[in-house]
Amino acid sequence: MSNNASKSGFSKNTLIIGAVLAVIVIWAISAYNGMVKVEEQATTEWAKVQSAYQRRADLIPNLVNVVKGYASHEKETLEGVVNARAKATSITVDADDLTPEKLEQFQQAQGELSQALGKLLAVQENYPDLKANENFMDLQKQLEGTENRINEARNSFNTAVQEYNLKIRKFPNTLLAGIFGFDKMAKFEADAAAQKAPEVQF
Amino acid sequence: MELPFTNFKLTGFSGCLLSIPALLFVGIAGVIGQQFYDEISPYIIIVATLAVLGVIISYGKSANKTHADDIKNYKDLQEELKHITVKYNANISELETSYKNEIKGLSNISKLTQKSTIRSNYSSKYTAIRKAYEKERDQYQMVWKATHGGIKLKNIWQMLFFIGFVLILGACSFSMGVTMEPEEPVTGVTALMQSRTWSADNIPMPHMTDGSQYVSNPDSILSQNVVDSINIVLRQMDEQFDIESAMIIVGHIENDDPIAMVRGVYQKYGVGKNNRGLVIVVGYLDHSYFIAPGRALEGDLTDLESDQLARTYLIPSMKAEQPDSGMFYLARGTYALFAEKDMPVMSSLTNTYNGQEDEEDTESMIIMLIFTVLLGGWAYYANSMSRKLGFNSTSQTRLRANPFIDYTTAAIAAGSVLGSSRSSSHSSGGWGGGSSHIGGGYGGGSWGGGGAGGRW
Repeated sequence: MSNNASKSGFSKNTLIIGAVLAVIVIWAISAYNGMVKVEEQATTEWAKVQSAYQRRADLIPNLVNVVKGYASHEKETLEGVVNARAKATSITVDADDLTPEKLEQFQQAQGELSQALGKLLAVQENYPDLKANENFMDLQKQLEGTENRINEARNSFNTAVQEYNLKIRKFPNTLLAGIFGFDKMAKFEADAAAQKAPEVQF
Repeated sequence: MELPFTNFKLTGFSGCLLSIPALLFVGIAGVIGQQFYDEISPYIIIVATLAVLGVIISYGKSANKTHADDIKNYKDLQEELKHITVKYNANISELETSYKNEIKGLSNISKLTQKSTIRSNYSSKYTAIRKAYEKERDQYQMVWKATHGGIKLKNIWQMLFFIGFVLILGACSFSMGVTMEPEEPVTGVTALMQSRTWSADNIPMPHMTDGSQYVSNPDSILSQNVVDSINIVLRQMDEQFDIESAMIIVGHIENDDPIAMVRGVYQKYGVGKNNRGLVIVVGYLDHSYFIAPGRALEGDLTDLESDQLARTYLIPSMKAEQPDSGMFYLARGTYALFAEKDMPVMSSLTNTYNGQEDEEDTESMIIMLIFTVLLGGWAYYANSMSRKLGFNSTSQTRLRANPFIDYTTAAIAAGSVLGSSRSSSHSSGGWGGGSSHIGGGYGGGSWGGGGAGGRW
């Protein structure tokens, strides 16, 4: 009689433990998938940021050529833009390796390029012919659109990163995040040196 | 002789007649717009008062009798003048017969040398007859005036006919001018428009409840006709190219930042199915705008094309304070771009946009027809009344012209070019009806930052 009693007790305990384990596993799977989802959204937004910055970089050679045609002796300014562009495009940050340090490095390089661009565009004030040049005006307009895209992409990226960081830092998700290597992602910060978009003036 | 407007029957009758153009004026102005009632109401009040007063008082017997006596006296004058004229015209005819007989009796050579002399002599005789005629006529009229106090009755009726004629022409011109009225610059800025600022959070979006409405115009900067026309264009764009649009025009945008408003609208409402949305924001009093295609639409509407659309259609109109034209042509231009059709040509900024021209031409024609009939009717009435009252100067009361003057054969070309309605240089284009959309809401699209904006 005691054997029967112990057998049924064991089964009951097993069931309970099994159920609890099942719940934990199901939760873990769900939480993991959720974190993966938001991480993917953040990396996708990062790709859009890079795409927007690349778009700007692609416009610069044409811009330099047009300005050179009218202001060839603005050598320092032209070289500054070319060098800044080269530096900015050389820094590539993989979404899987988006550490705060690398993001800061990326942001700084792009900031320097923005400043160099600003100086280049300011040259037009001294060259009315350049200012009136149709190609130059078209490039300015494209540049303006590109800056808007960069802003939107950065905002979207920051939103996605925020959502990801919240997800992985909330309890009990934070337990899983540490196990599976979900690390906090860095966001774009406002540049203290005033990372200003080049002003386009007509 | 009594003063003109104490002849009440005359006053009442003429007042009734004058009220006809006034009523037509009112009717047509009412069709055009409420505001014109205010402009013409003093005129209506004066004429209506005259008409009513005159009709009421004119039933007095003494008035009737006075009027009848005046007409009889005037007819007697006309009869006598006719007798005088007939008498002198007969003298001229005899003179003319004598001249012809004298010329006939001359040889060919004598005709060449003497004809002009003979003609000159007979012309002098004609002049003498004319002077005698005028003297007798004037004498008789003087005596008649002394007896009957003048012929003011005729002057009164002639004045009334003339006033009626002028009023009808004036009403016609006014109505025609009204139908061809160019878009007035939007100069009146209401206090509400001045004070309120709009953002994505408080902007009304009619498309959310009615799928056929794409324009948000909370400050009523655009007229309803234009809003309807733009909605038709944007609906075509939606149905043909799957481009879901939101066109917003307000007085002030919050923080004067149209980009932020565009971003907010996309985030809040998700304009665009499959990311093929188009949001256009214009801050009319801020003088700022932004044209923002959705992520998947950037390839079809590039930044440069957006900028070009704005520079071609929006900015010139906005500078001329003609937002109706600017927004309408912007919508049409955008449609034409996607449809790869010829870009619409914006009519002169002093005229209304082309889409209204056909409608206005029809309206102008109807007004001209009404007033032509009215003028014709008035002229007929004036003529028949003149005959009845004996005011008409028939040939029997006018002395014949001098038949002995040698008129040259210069042709006097008299022509007049009648102006018609202004030319229509561009067909309106039927945008088609299309079924109305049921329900509303947007397709969840997003914005990637593309497009173009600026200021004017």
